[in-house]
Amino acid sequence: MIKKVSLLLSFVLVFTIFAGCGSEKVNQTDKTPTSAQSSSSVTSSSGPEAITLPIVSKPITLKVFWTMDPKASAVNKTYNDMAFFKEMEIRTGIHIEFQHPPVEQAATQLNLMLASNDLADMIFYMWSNVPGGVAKLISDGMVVKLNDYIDKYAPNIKKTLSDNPEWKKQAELDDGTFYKFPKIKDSTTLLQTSGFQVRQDWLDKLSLKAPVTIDDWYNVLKAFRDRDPNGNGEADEIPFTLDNSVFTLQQFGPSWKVQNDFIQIDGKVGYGPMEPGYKDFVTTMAKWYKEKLIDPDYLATDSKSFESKVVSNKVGTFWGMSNGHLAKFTSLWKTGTNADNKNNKLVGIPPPIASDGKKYSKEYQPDVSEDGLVITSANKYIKESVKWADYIYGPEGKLLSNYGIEGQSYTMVDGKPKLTDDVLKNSQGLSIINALHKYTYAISTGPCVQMLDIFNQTSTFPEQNIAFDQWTKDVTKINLTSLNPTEDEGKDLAKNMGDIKTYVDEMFNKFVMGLEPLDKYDEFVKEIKNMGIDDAIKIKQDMLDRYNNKK
Amino acid sequence: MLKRRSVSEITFDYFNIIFLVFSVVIMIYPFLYVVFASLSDPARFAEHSGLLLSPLSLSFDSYKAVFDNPNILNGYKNTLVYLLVGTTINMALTTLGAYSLSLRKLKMRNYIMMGIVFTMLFNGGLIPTYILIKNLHFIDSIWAITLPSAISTMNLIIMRTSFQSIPASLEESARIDGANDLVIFARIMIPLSIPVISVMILFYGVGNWNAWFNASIYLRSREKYPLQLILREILIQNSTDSMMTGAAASDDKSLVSETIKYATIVVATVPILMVYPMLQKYFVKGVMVGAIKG
Amino acid sequence: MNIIFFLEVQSLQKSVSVTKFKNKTNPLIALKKDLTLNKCAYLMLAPVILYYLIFQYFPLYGAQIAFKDFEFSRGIIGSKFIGFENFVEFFNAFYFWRIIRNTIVLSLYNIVFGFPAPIILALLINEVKSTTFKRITQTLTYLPHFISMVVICGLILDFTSRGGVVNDLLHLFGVPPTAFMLEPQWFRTIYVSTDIWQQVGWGSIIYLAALTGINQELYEACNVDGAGRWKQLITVTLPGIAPTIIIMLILRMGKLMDVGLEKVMLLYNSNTYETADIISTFVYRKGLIDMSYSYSAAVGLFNSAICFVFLIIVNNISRRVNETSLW
Repeated sequence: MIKKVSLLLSFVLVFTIFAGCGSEKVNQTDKTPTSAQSSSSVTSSSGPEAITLPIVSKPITLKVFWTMDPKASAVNKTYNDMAFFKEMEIRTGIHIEFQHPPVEQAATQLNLMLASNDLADMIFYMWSNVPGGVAKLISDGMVVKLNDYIDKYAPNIKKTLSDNPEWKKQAELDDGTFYKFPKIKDSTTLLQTSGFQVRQDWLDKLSLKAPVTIDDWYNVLKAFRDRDPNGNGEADEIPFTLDNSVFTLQQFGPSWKVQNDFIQIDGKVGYGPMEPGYKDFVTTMAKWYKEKLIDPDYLATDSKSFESKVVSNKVGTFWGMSNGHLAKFTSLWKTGTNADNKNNKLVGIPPPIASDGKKYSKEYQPDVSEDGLVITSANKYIKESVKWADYIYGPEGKLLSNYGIEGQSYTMVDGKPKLTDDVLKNSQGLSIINALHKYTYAISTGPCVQMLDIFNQTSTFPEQNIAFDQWTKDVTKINLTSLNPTEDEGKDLAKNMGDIKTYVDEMFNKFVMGLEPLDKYDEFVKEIKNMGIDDAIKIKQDMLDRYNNKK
Repeated sequence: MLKRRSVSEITFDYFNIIFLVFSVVIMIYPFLYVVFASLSDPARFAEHSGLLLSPLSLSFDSYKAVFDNPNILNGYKNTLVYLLVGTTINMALTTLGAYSLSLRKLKMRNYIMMGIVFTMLFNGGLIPTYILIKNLHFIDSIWAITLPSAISTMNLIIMRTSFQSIPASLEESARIDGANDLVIFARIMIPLSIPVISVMILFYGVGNWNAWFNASIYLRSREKYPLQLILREILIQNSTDSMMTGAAASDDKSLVSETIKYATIVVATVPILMVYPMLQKYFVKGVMVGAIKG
Repeated sequence: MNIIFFLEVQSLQKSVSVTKFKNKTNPLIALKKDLTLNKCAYLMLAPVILYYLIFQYFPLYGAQIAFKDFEFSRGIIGSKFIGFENFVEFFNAFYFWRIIRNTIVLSLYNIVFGFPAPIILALLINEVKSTTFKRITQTLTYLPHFISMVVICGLILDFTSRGGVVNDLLHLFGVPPTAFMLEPQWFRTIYVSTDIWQQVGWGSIIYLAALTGINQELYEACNVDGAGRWKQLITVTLPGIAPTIIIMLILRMGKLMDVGLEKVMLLYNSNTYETADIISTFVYRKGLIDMSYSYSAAVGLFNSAICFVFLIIVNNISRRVNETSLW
């Protein structure tokens, strides 16, 4: 029997090794030398030429791989239904053929596309998510390095980036390679879309002010717990909770300048749990948990139970998103059948200040997003593609991508674009965001400059705009973004961080919930050191140094 | 023939019925929950937790939202086509394979079985399969949906077991009469295996109805999307669960409520639930009796 | 003349027996004989074999990825061979033994409790006299199978929370509330019992179908002998569906390491990692950090290898003990 099996197995093994031969096209894309594209006669003496429309005299078609945002797919069959792309085709003469993977399968379809060398002409994707890193794709020639093209044909993006050196650093790889047309947020107010929120009406009822320091928070949470702000005669209030499938208790970490991941303060990288402040953070959280200021079930609270806790008037404070939570809950209260809820008010408040009096955040997104539109080696019209993409960053492109079509989705009032009722009060009952997606995409994501104004105009409630402000004003970022590991760095980090992260998450919650006594804390720190955290910190420091030294 | 039941047998029967009724109640509950939730007013449902015993403020808003999606009716049509074509291919290949492999006279039988079972556990992964489909020019076609999973090895094995338990005497008498394998298969084996065949049609049918993965990888035109894929997209619009979106959590939800999730499930499952009762009548006892006498 | 004829016949006989002797040791000729003899059956089998060759065996070369440092531009074949590096990395994981243990224990619990449940349900339903009751019960018990995992887990989290239904019930008996999903010791119980709750109805279908295949005359013979229901169960019913049960058991054992990712992910949290963190959840979390195809392929191959060995052992035991086996 064993002989039979081993015979079969060896047959199979041999077969599989040989079966592969000649079946898969080994990708031998020629490595496009960096500057050899157009030894053309275009004189690039005074920078890139301005873009003239139409871009092509004979219409061309470009294939673009781009996941359709769910808010757009509710109202469009493909992006070609969107007014923006129809108008772009009229203005530029370039027709786009879209490949929209289902949202869940975007990564899989992209990886398959790369693996089978069946590339679209342009790809819009979150490039930090690619196995092996995008730098490898560029050096292997699958993604085109665009520096020369930008110099010659992309005046708008070139100007945008040179006017904002920080944006330039974020957009390029460490060696200065420019490869993608990203989404750029034009205001720091947009860099954090979630934050602490509190029931303003409860604060008013109990004559309290919004908490500023950790001690304030302690007092406010206690008041919520004891003084029955929801007025039902029962002590059923939950002073603080959150949706644990999305956020964690680490949101309070920045008040001690820490979190359960890498941090950087003034250019120096550290790992939260190794910092002295982390112990104070954990101790305070444990104290709050013990005194029932934090939801005892916070760890098992998923989206549905989070929602029901907040909407049924049990929660005083939480960390949540703007549209997904603040607007949604407020809207549910206003349109719900329970009249008492109509005056419930949620506001966003800044994070509690650290011991040095400053506000810190770990949730800061980079100005230049990690996703972007790249041009691949399959593209036969690189020059035209660059011009097409660059147009979006110019003055007309910005209007078109953010606001849509003049006269349909917006009108000019006092020289400023104002959204029309077709968007704001759609006759078919579409929400504002969905209605805007009939016209254009900047409000979700895509290559463009995303403007603060469009966010302000599309908020359902004024509290949302105020919240954005509260969450980002004078707030210092401690999380690491926009860093590019080399291949070896990536491998070394991957070796240990999986284990370390599991360990840290487990121990943190055990300490907070009192399942592990705090006098074991020093052992906890020692164990992390044994797991090799110092090497990881050094790697991240190297990455940060390279980033900071970029010109 | 009068059968007298003993006291213990009567007690057993009563307890059996009570137990089964109890089981049914706790097992239909999740489904009732889903139906009630889908018919509830979104705001009232949001604040509710715990048992749900009836719709909260009856409202058809969620269903309206689901059917407003232009792709739904198309999704139904596509799924029906994939179901019919797919199940036919499944049943044809599986029954042929199961019967042939049930014949003990085939010397290669065991080797082939080993080879087949091997594939249940080992496979090459998505990349080579994708490249194969691409090279066969099946991308964006119905063949990419139905062929890669044409045979479920588990179903094949179950069916083979069932064929094997049909008494050999029937086969032998037919052979003596001069029938070849195909005739025996069609005229004897299949009619005798109606219960198992009905079960397989059910299993494959449900599988094809619920299928979305192959479609999500191989289809390019949204007009060809099956129902499940469209519905998953609706669920994603509503979900903060990063496992569903695969991306870092961002503030990317429209103001759509939980009840839509439930309306989606009802829309997706009610049609296929109708199938089982229709197939039930084939699970009839006594099919064998006539055959042996003949 | 006679002598010559006799001698010729003798040499013919000899050559025939020599040929026969040759055939016995020549497998290829035996194979050819088998093919010609059973031409019809093999023709029927041909499309099936074709399917497996094209869609299952041909892509198998991709399994190499577990031994390679995969790069898109080089493809699976062209990528650098790194041998067992991925496997070694997996074996050296800090939590290696924990996730292996959790995977196997969860799977065994599922087999011990979850495997008999549909059989028992099928037998109970079968004992009911009324066909209408039987049909309705069958149809209703399989409903939970169709509810998506996300909804089921949402219900589980809700019911087991401190303010949930289960604790309300316990409160009636004076038991203080427990947050079940936060306690590692409860995870396996909840996981397995809700699995049974969701799948027992669907799982019983195959056994119900098998029950209808039992020859009714055997029951009648039992009645003539005066045997009670219990005896009928032991002597007729169970042996009647035994082949189905055994095959299902063998197949189930072959999926030993195959514990579903989705359900655990939706139910676990860092507090319950101790019992809930399994191989697939660990690899998933790691994959979010380093996105290595090769690593997850290596772990998958490791899983499959263990399952395969187990399958062979179980199949052999089954073959020796009774006649039913896969091969």
